[in-house]
Amino acid sequence: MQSTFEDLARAAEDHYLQPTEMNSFKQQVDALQDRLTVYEAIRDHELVIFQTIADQLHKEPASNSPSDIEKVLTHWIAVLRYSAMAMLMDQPEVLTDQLGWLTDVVSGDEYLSLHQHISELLHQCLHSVLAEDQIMLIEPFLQPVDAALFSEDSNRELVVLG
Amino acid sequence: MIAVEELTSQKHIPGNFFAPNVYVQGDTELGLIENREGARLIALPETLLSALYSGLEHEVGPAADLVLQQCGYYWGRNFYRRFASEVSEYYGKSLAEMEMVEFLQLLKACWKTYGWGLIELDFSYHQQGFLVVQTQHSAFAKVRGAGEHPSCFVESGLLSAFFSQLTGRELGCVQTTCESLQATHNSFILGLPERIKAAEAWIKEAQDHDTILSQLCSQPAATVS
Repeated sequence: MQSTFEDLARAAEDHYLQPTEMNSFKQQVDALQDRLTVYEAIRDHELVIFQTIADQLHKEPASNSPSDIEKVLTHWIAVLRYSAMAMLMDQPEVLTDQLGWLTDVVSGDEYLSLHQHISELLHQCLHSVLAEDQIMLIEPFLQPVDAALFSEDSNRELVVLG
Repeated sequence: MIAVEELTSQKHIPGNFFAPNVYVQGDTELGLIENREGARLIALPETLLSALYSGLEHEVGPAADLVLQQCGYYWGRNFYRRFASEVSEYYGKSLAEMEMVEFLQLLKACWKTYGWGLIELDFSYHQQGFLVVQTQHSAFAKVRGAGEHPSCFVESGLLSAFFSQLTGRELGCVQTTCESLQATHNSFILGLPERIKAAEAWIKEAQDHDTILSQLCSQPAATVS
């Protein structure tokens, strides 16, 4: 499922896992449990998070049409789903494979401020439903989205997760 | 007021249909590589491509380039049909109904996932009746090796067929730069066959891409049908 597990699985070619490797395996299992908890929290709060964002957008004067806002919001719903899955699997490519599509189809100057606003609101909402250590797990999988949307580098496809 | 529940509960939110980890699937026991719709894919090893080139050159000599271009053309027609059908079904709209940025993203993603490298489209010369396509990391160029002229005939035929089907007008395609000639990328110019034809001689004279494009654009508009 993730590279460390795969590396350990390959050990069967020539030996049983040794104590240090067993420790590494157990750490991976613990980390997976933490990620599962965060994933479930985001999943269970999806509606609350995005309704809060939508309500906030509704209160403020908008330069985009309602259909544009709905379109961009839909893309952010998808972005968070892919980010959460990438975090759960610890496979950044789950997100990067989608970023070119998810960001470019709603790119352009007319969407930029809306994206920035939604991104800020999303971070606020996540802070309200996740603990600080949980935020640290999902954050690395949201940063590439901001980088892809707000980076001045036009070649967004080259954005790579660390 | 946006009803978010309607957005989150919709059947699916379309993402990148061609995401490689989803699009390419397989069952090694059955000897199958398939796409996500169950259509069979075939991986071409470099040695097979190399053998095809050598075999064709041995059998038909200088006509090999034309044969490869024709192969690419027929391949491109089928590729377009599959691309249009799969994409329309997944996104619930035809290619014609898609925004340009959606179409471009899909073609780029598809090209990459198929292992054909990277593709970029340049519409700057649209008003003059030309489309410029650039590709990078082409296996067809790599296997062909160094020559005197651009040699991505398969891709040239494929692009010609793809964009002919897309636009509903027969388009010719010429290649002006090639990775096999140490260029950083492969450049193709597409346009009406009678306008593109002049470029073939300029390519044989080893004129550069910009010069060829400039000369094509300065052709009298009267030749446009």
